[in-house]
Amino acid sequence: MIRLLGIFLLVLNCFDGMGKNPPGTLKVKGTSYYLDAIEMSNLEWYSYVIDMRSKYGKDSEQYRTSLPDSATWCSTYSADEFFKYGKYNDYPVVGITYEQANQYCTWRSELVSLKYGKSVVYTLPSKEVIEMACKQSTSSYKEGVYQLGKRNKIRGLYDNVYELTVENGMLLSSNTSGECSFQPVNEVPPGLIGIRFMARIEE
Amino acid sequence: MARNYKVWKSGATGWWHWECKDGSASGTAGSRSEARSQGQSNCSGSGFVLSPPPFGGEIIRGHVSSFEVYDLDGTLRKYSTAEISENTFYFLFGSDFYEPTQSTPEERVIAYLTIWGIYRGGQSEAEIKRRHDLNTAGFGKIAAKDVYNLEITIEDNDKITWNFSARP
Repeated sequence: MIRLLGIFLLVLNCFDGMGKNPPGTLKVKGTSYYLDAIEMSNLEWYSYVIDMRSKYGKDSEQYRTSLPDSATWCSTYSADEFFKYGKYNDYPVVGITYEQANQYCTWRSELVSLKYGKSVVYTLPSKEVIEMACKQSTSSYKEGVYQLGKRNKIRGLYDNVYELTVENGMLLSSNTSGECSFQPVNEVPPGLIGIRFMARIEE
Repeated sequence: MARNYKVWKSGATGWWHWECKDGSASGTAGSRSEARSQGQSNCSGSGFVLSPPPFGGEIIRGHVSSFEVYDLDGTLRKYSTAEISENTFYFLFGSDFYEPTQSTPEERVIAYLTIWGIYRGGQSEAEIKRRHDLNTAGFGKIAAKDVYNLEITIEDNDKITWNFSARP
């Protein structure tokens, strides 16, 4: 009986080709929203960057505005060029502005909706959804900016990097208390600010 | 032969991306095979690089006799527990129900190779290593699920090169 229950739970937690969770997300209990299980990684952001480059060209505004702030990114990862070093693939992307995050949402929503034939809308997360998600978040606290974990649980909501929220200028804080809290953006070094998104499926 | 492009799947969108190694061209595709095809067409040289996502597939429904999983081409495939045991599926997908003593290293490696779509046969460790150009260390890493930063390069002559510590 326990084994069968385990299989059932396993199925519920897995994205089934858009039958359940939009890609990258898990359902936030008590809401109709889904939230990225982990922060956006450098590789994920790079996927967006090269799509802008291939669609619009290297000299385009779309490509240029998709790039993270190089000084911020490079100082966080001790690198001299964005994404030059693959060892940071699975670390949270930093150096992304509020406006860039919203542009990414538009791109991601279009791609996901196109692939799965349902209208999926990604946005920066609201305070209310974050607070609900915090109740089911798992912490794997390590000092500093650290490698992201698997997508099978909501992870790192109150640790790893600070995160942008839908309220411009307000961040989800990073702390060791095990509780979600919020903090103004001007109090936090930009190299410690990452992103994740929430999604809803529109019927 | 040197690899000339890489492909990987976005966990955020479900789409595949490819990029020439020299950065000269890149694109987005709906499946691994499409991405590979576009990489072959647009990048000089031969061979391709596969960066499997951490889970290697997604279970969409499962019960005690079979599992349905999206492979790296985005194709839904059904596996019976005769092909991949229930316990090995638990291993692949990080379930707490995985019991280490019930799956051999060979079973775990075959399961990964199968889901990645590159299994070429072999049941013993020696035969699996021979058919997949794997050394003992690489075999051990797959059996231990140490595949987080894995790149698999498959040349046009079918030679496989394994890189467990670097991605694009």
